[in-house]
Amino acid sequence: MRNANQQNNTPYHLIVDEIEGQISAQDLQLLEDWKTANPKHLKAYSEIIKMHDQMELLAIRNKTNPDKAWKKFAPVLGKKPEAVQPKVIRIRNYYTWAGTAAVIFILMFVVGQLSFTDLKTISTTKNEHKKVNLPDGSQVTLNENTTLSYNKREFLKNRTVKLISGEAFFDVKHEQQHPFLINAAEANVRDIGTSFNVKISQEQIVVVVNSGEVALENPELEKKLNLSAKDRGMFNRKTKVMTSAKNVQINYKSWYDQKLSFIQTPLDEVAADLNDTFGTVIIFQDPDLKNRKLTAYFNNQSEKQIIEIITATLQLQVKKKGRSFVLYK
Amino acid sequence: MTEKETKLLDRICKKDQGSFESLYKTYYSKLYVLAFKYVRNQEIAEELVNDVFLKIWVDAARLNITQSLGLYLSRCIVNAALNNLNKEKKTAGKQEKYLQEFDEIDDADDEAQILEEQLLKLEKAIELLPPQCKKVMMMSKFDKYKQHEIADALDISIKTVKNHLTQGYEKIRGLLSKELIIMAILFFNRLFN
Repeated sequence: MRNANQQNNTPYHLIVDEIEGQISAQDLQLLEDWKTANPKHLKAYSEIIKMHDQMELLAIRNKTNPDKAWKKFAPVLGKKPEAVQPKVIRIRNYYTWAGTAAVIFILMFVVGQLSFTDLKTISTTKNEHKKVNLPDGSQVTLNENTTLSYNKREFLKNRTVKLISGEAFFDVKHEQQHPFLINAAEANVRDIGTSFNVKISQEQIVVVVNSGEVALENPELEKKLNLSAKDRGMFNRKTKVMTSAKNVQINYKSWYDQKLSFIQTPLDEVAADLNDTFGTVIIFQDPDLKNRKLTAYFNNQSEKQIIEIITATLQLQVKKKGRSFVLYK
Repeated sequence: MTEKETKLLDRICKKDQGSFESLYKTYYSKLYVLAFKYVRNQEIAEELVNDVFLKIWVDAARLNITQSLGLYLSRCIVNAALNNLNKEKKTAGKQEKYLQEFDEIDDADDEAQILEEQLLKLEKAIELLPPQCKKVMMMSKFDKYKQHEIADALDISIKTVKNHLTQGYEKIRGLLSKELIIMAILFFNRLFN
């Protein structure tokens, strides 16, 4: 068996598990043992990893679209060169080098003005938060899986940001002359100097106002809703209906400030909020526990501390199982 | 440079946008993948490629290209990518590894072309997989579906999905090494004839 065709001995299934990020600790050890057993194994392993990497590159390559890229790129070249050219020839007769240098300088300036880097895009991946300081001093905090963009050059004149996907908390500096506008998918959020949370999900766009006043608008349907502090405005992306109500989800921005408060809240709702905030998974061994009520306030405590406080308050036991906590009596 | 390339570059020197456009479209995908291989970020890759082309457009008259155009562009991309990586060295870790790997590459190689050929070979190998296996591989690698999503979409069990992936890797690796043998045979044939 040991001398059998080596190809057959390569533990492809373990390597595939590892690539997919779902290999068990035990299998990982097996794989490590195999890798170190023989230099040939290590070579085979790196070949397979390289193959996997090239498949990703192939996917990227096949998604490129030179025509589209060109359309996006071409405006940068501008129409200037043709207009400038006759001048170059004339200048050349007198000051060849100075002329050429000047033209290049002008071109670079034009290019700089039109530069594609003016559009700044910021993204977060899973479990990543990012604080963004906008040129006007306003602050945006991005929750995980969120993308936001704005124009660096135009921003001070025209305070517009685009929330492309995900969820963000805005703390906006008030400027009478320059309103702050957020394009959030089909809805616009116009701020009148405040802090608020905007979330785009598949079905709806939700704005919760922390302080001040905000207008939620849909330009297409010419709908507009004014929201004040503690209001929640919703735009249903399917039915196109816009509604507002007093916000009852007090922990809507816990992902942002790690503040959680619970007033006689059933434990399963507590678990849901903890999941939104930390990604914590809580398992109730006894379904009755879901209805136990908790009153507590947490400020910047770690997920472990919070679990300890909950179990102490309600006199429960806890054991950790992988990434999740199991609560029992 | 071939005669064709020299002529193309001449026209670009004269700010002929049409010629520049064809240059851009010919090399864009190759250079983009090469840039991505280093920087691992699509936006940065796009920026690097566009910067290199822009330099050609602005500076064409002053370029002194001795080898092929493709080689020149490849080197530009690699240099730009390495500069970018050095700038962002703080976030290194993973990329450090790539840097080391890339250092071994010969200056005389058109890296974009080599990578392009490798990817095309890989694509051909994927084409040769049994239909269901190919489908699973494509969904997983190109469309980034998770195993359970593939299982749902194709109405098969997760275990079957896993088997297809495992077999896919094994078969592709087999096909690629066979390709090497065939090429070696062809090479020696030519050598001895």
